[in-house]
Amino acid sequence: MKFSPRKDKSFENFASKGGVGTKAYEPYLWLAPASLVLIGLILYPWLWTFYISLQKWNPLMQSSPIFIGLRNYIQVLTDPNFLKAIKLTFILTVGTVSLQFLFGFILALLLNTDIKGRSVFRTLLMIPMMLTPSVVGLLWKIILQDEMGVANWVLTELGFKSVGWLSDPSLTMPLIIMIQTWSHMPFVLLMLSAGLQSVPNELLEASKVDGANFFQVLWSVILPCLKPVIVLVMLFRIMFALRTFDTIFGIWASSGPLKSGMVLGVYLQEQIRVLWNFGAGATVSYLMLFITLIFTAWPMLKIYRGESR
Amino acid sequence: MKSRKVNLALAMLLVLVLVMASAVSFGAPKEKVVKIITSTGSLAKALPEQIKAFNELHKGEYRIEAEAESLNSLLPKLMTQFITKVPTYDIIPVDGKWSRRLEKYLYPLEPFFKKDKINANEIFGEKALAGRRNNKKQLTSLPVSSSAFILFYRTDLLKEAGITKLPQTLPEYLEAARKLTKRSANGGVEVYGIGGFRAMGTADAAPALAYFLQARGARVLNSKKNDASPDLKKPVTLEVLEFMNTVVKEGLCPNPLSWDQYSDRQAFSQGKLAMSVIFSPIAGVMEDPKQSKVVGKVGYAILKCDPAGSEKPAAYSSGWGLGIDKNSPNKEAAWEFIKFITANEKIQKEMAMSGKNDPAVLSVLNDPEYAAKIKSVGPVREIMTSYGMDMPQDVEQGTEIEMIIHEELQLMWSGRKAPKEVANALYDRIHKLMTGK
Amino acid sequence: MKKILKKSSIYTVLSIAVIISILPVLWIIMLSLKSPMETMALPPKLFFKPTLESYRMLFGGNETTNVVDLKMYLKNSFIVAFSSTLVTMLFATLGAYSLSRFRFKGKNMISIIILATRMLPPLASAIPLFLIFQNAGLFDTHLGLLMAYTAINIPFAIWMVRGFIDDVPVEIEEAAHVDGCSRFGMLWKIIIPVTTPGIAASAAYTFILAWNDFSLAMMLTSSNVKTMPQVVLSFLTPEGIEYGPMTAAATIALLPPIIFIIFAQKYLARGLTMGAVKG
Repeated sequence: MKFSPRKDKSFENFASKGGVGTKAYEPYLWLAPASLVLIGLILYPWLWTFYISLQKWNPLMQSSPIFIGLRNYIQVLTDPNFLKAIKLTFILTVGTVSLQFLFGFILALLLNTDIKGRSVFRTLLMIPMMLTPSVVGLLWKIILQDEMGVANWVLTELGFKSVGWLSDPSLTMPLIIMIQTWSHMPFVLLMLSAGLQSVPNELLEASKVDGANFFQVLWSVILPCLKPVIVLVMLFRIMFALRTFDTIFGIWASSGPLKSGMVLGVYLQEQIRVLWNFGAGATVSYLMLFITLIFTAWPMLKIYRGESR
Repeated sequence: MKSRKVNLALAMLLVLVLVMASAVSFGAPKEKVVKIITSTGSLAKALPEQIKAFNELHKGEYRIEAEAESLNSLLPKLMTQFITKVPTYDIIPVDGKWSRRLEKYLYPLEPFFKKDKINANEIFGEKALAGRRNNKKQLTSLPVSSSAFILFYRTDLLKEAGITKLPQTLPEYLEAARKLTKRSANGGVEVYGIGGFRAMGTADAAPALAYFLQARGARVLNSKKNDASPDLKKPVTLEVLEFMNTVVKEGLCPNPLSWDQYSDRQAFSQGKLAMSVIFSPIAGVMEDPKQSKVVGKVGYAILKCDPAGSEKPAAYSSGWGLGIDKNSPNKEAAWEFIKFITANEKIQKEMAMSGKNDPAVLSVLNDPEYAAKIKSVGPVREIMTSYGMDMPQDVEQGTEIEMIIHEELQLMWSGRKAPKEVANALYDRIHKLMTGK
Repeated sequence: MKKILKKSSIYTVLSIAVIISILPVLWIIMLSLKSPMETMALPPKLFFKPTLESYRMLFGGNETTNVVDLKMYLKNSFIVAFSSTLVTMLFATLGAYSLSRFRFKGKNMISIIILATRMLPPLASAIPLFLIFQNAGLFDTHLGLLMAYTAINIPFAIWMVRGFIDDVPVEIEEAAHVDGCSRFGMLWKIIIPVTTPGIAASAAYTFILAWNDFSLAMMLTSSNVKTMPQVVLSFLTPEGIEYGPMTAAATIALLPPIIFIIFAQKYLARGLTMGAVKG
């Protein structure tokens, strides 16, 4: 028996406008507090950023912006570094989000069994997510630094050769993917754990009675129930991953050896905080907005397809 | 269920009360508040005492409040202030290499010099102030601390290797580095001959190139600072680049791609480097038994290297200065404090003797008591007075120059570009950047 | 027998995962217990005599070395993070109920816009936000930072809570409506108890985001409302990185989120389900 609350007909009558006991403005009223805060603090920055993306402005070199229309966009879109950034960001996002899900899901399932000390395990597994992001970069720099880091010291003590963790351009992306997975898998774990709580026990019991093995239960009961949560969590992880820069900048204070860590977030950081090129920075911000919309459109459509009421 | 509701409500009420309480501001003080922000670190530790003394002196008139911000966030905070024209802080910290880029936001100090009859050149030395002048030759900040990159070397290791005189030419540095590098049994390196070669962060590579280049009398920019220097195309630059490349290729220094500005200090203080070019204030760390394994074994000298360029040799340096925000409503009060802390021999000496600040005032640098306490004063004094200082980033396009040097040096040190190509690329790219051709 | 094998392998996997997660953090804690010389030591020291020197520097110590009064930063972080989490969850739950249960014009549009507000990287928005705060008198106030954190966390909170509300079958609410229950009553008596795991998880994450935020705090505060992440980074000085006090501050900063998660676990592991729906 598949469990899908949304396909229920009676709900439509219940919830639709003009339905039982619902005033027309009521939905908006419930959204009002949230919307007010968002409009107040987000709208003006968005408009300002767009305005600046049409200017040439480097506060270190000029006191005021100069209007140049869409030339910033053309310049950025034809900058080979920007295109490289898109490619690297894609690799990073796909890599780290899939690994975060893989580990997060497995661990959430394991923690949903009746073993002792679940809360202790769960709390300890959450810890990487709780570190201040800027410290994460520094921490891994201390550990991985070629010459003076712990990692190479352990390796050489054990008789292996030291590895150029932070100087080898081909290691940069794998390293960042690993570190980001380590850092954000707990979020997936947290949300999926919460989601697993909403899987109705009777269904689990029923399928056990029917003689289903673990994977069948997983496929026909757990996954469908978790679908909205999974899609949402994936959405958020993608959004965050597209913006990664804290860790990379914290480790190298640049885009990595031979720019091998030049993801969009780092490219943006270099434009705004290193080069103080606000015009280009604003442009990159809006381009990142579009890219994020594109990449998150698929998960979002999935949610809406299941929710057509 | 009911008690949970009550608990929740009480918790919310408590938080609301706390928020209200801290949002309430108490009665406005009668004194004017003048705010200063500095980077965290020694300067921030040296200031509180002096600020207390200053506030005592000017009680009822004005009061200085100090804030310290971590180094990486300082410039963003300042730029926000300048761009939005909201003078959150009245007194601005001006690192030597920011001077040209920030000068349009700072209030020129000339009127105050006239009023208080101060001859800045006499107090700090003309060379030391050159970088802080805008195009109208006005000073936009006064130096509060002085620093330069000098050669740190291990007196014991040099003696052991039979090196009696400090290297004076590039081949001599190479020879010395080879003799001083000690490899360990398992293939690693116990002591590297020379350090100071770094290219990890975008700001790390420019100094690494500049100190050897400038020690040889060459520059990255021409003397008018409006174009790449022709020296970049001359043999002198090629020799420097080949030297830097050979040192890395032969493993005489740690891999620069994972070496940043903090690495030299840590490595040297733990005995991993025999020589290195390090920022002079770190001398204090080297002589501190709580932080250094090489106390008493360190010598300090100007990085001298057979000048063959078209300019006079100069050290790479940057020190902190204090300036006033153009939009500050408290300029006179700000000036009083700046004067108190910089152009004041007594206070500078106090801060210097406490070990927290390397002084910018010449008379303190010349003071025998101070020289006895800080061993690195000799080279620093000479640099401030006669040798000279320069930095390639002190122009408006400073950060882009840093990025060009960073990119090219990384390519050279990872074996992807030959020194000759790098020299040409540096010239071409910087020339294009500065002149638009 | 099979059950024992299964259980012990589960424990093994979980333990390995915990070790991988914790090991780097243990290194931070170790650094915080080392003396300044030991933090820099090469080769790195695994065995040393622990000392609380770095912690003392944060809470007292003598005047000239201690430039940090951690109590104030802790207080600021607590006030701002807690209150913004409360406000965020409040606003978000209301909004999420609306998005989940009502059908109205522009619903899809509004949902996407709410999420899209988080898609513009915040870096470029720092300056206009600063201006808004200065002009509204919110600069360097707890209320201001609270509002800023609420604004950045609401989109995620709304979407997360809405996802969990979606999972609750509508039949219960319909039954309650028949019994004469108001909308708000439905939210309070039905939805919230059942989605408590989801709300707890979202609240925990919101708290962590607010607690650890650095860039907004740096831009929008001066001396009054400095927060913990700023302290941790303040030990990056031109003279070097002071690993001791930095890792000590980072360790202390780690504790409140851990405590929050421990409390959230209670609601997380409830296991109470919609057993009320029978067929």
